[in-house]
Amino acid sequence: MSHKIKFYPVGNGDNVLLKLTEGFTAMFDCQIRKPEKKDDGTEVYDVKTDLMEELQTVNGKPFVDLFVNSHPHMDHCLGYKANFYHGDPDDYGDTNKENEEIIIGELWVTQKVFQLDLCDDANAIRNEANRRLRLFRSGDAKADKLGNRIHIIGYNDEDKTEEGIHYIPGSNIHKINGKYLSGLNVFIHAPLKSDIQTSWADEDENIASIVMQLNIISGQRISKVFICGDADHYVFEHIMDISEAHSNEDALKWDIFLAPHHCSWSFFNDTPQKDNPDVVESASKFLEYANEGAHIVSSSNKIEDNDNNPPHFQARKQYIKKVTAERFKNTAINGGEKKPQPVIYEFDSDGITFKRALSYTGTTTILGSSTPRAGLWMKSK
Amino acid sequence: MDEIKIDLAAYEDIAISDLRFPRAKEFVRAASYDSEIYNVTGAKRHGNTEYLFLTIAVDKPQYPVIDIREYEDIAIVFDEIETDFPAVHALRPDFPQGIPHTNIRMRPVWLCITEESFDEVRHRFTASQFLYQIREWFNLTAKGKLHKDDQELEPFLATSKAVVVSKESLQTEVSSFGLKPYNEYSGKHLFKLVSDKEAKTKYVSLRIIADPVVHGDINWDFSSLSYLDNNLTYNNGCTLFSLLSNILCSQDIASNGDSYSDVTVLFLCDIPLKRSNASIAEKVDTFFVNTVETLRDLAVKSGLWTKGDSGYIINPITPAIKKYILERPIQLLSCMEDFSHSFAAQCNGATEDTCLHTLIGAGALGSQVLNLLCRAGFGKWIVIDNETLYPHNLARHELNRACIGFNKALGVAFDMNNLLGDSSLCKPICKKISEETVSDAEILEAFANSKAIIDISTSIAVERILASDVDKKIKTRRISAFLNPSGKSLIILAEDTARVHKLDLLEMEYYRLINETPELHSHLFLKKDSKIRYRRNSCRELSIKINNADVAQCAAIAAKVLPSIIHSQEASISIWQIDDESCTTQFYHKVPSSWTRFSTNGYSVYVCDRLITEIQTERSKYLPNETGGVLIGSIDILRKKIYIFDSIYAENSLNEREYFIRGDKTVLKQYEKYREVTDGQICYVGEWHSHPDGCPTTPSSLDIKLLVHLTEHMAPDGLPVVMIITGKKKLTVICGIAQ
Repeated sequence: MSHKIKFYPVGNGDNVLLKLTEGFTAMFDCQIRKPEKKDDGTEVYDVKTDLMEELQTVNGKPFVDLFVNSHPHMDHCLGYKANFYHGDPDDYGDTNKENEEIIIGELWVTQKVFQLDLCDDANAIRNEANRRLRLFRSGDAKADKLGNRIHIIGYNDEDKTEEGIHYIPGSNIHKINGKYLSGLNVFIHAPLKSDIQTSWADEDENIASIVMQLNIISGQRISKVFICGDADHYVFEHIMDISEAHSNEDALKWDIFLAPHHCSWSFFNDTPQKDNPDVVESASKFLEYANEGAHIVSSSNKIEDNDNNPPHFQARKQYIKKVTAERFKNTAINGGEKKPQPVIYEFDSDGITFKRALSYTGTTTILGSSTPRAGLWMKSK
Repeated sequence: MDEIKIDLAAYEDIAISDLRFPRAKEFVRAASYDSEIYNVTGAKRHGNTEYLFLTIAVDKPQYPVIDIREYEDIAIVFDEIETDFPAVHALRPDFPQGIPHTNIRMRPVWLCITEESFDEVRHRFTASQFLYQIREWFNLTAKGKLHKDDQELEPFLATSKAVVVSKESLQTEVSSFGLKPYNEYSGKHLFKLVSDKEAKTKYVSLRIIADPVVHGDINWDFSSLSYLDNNLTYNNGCTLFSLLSNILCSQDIASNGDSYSDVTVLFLCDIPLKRSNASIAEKVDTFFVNTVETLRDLAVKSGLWTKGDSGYIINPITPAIKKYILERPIQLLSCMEDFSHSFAAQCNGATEDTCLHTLIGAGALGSQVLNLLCRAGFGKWIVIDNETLYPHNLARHELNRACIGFNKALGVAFDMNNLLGDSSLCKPICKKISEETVSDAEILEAFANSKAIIDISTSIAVERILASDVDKKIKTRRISAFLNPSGKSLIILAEDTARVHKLDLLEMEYYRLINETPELHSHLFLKKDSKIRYRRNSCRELSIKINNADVAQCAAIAAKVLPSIIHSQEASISIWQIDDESCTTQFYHKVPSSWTRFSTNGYSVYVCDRLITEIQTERSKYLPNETGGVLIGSIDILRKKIYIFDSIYAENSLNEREYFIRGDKTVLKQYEKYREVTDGQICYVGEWHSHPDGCPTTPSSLDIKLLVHLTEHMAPDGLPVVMIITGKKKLTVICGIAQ
């Protein structure tokens, strides 16, 4: 058995699942849509069904140990309200069970989720975060139970922290959802103090995204995955300055890099790219921290040769320059453009292994869906 | 290092659409469904063979253990007549050689995709599945996990010729040895290791231990010495050629060179194999290398010897001489372990048992059980039986026609000893177990030295003798296995190691188990016409018609469970009942109860403790009134033993404070039913009743009258009768015997 990470094909959005062999699960953002076949023949991947197969249950209730909302934008939290349980876990009833609502063991958000003008799903996250915070602040022992735990990543509006609630940049987290993990520790890079303030000033939540380095441990091997929401090149410049100033270059290394903002040019320079075609030094430098054989994942629509952003074609070219086309994975076309499959990596003592999506066998396909109409159908006159 | 090279480039290029073989086309179609993973790049034809070229995308780990690339080019080879899996070659010029699950050293490297036999999977073989297996081969090889950690190492050599050798003979120092065809039918493929005197061909023989080799690619039957000379060393670097040249350059041999005109050289090579360079040797592969040419021919034709005045002169070894010798044909023979007791256990996935056991009864069941146990390396045996094998026995017996007229014990012992190549494995004692022979010194010695006495005589008499009549000093536990009359049930009664639960007591509880289990009520029935007379001299010369397959099924169960029963210290009563239609087996099991022994009027009365508890419960239920019932058991007049293990109650009994009158309603019916289902093995043994609290259990005047009444009525049968009186804590047992 190996640890596993899954980047779901959700268009321009993030929905990442991490599963450790010790039974721990974590989700980084969500983008849960109804499965359907679009007019162009492409199929919307059924994230929820897959999650139900992947997640563990407690008393028949599905749960994920950790849910991280990098920032409260719809492309990072779509489907939260309908698919995750919000409320006292003790009140989880038959209806919730029927709806297969997922209990979040521990919730990580940023201060930005507490602003008011958010989408429905982000509002639901805010309400749930507030419920958990109230429980914590009231000193209720239930606050440290599965379904009630919460941490805010970064600082509050006043650049302050509250003991027991905030995890600030530079923190290395080993205990999540009440468990000390042997297969994972999480190094928090951002949001940084200054970025939160800038975010308020510029009304830009992207730059206040959570940026973290997941250290996935398999025996002697530690594989590093960078997940960074929609952070831009300014954020990365700050992160690198700080880490290098602290001689903590190890915190910048990566084996898998989830291209920020769905492969946006904003990682390489300001947008639009045509006005800012040069790659800033910080972006080049960050890519140099790639370990041998590293991969980049673009959780985005199919990247085409046009001016769209995100995903941005020139950004893809830059990434490929670093890791080769073979190691650059676009979720929209993995396993076929019409019916994309999650980009999956396994982690073990040999490092990361990209697991190619195989076609289903005939039997699975036939039994997994209804057959076309058969027989002599008489069209009504 | 020698390697075979195939120049695929020289073969004719054809368009993929020109592939003719259906299988090749199927692969093209299957690959097209996963074109991102299987990219068909070309096709070729050469004679009756078609080649399909693909680039296969591998799930290569970041840090591969073996140099496998993200994309590997392969060729799949299809023969017009499909007798095996398509061969698969890795085309990359620097594809690693000698890695696990590759075949003969050749370029392009030939991959061993599956260990299955093509004949076995042909009916379900599909291109898509095989492509998947090819990809898995690369995926796992990249991680160094294709050969599982718990998987046995690959053999060093695969050859069609073999020498059957016992493990023991390989473990001992072999100095002068030779080979001999295994038998007249084995041709030139199967040999046995013999002393040089027994061998028909003359050899100069030598045993060497090679330096350890990392297992991996299997080497197939090389025809000359050169490959081995290149790939095997001994004594930290010496080659086989140096060894051979030492022999050829021996002055003693050369001076008598003509006497070596019919002598070949035979090496017995032990090759320690290890999993990786860093690991230690896990196993030793042994094989024989035999020069086909005689020693003299080798030396003379190569130019090493030239004729001198007296014998031959040895010349210096030149490169030409060496080349000539290395290119001479050789015969390679692998070692095949002989079937032995320990190997039998290994083949069965069982632990070898070398304890001595005694088997009584080498009949149909006994012979088949012994056969199965021996084939599993279980036990050394003393087999006791005085019967002769007759033709009708062959229907179900392990022995064959050649043994008709033999004593059965003698026959099976000979058969098993021959099977395992060990004349000391089974010792026959051609005697009957009876009151007379039970003190026989040979039998007593067998009993005393055995770990278990296993009675498969299917005789109650023998079972009772074993339970009660064997010298008390012999503590060996006894186990009785037998079939029911229809042969569709196997029963095993096993004493505990302390012999608290003796066979006769277990037999009694077996009867009670039958009665209280409705599914077993026809267990002891014997259908009409189920007997067959095998001789006309005596009315006793009957055999029961039992299906041979049922006996085999029961024997298989017995052989499966007896080892664990023997190793367990506990007593047990077990019944396996075969369903005739589905051939499934229903299992009934009982943990035996303890018994209490009472001595009265010259008899030993054994009362089952389970019954005592039930009687006490019944008494409590009726307090302050009295209650009682009929006692069911068995009487062994010969040994003056009475066994009591069950009770029958009457619905219309009178339960008063001062007396109890056992009623009659349904009692006889219940009793007859009990007799019926136990095939008459149980009988009425008396009555029991309770006394109220505070009253002694000594018989009252009424009780004495009752006992007299019972005794008188049993007198015509010549049987004793028992009265049990139970109080709050005490139980009084009295035996009445008609004078």
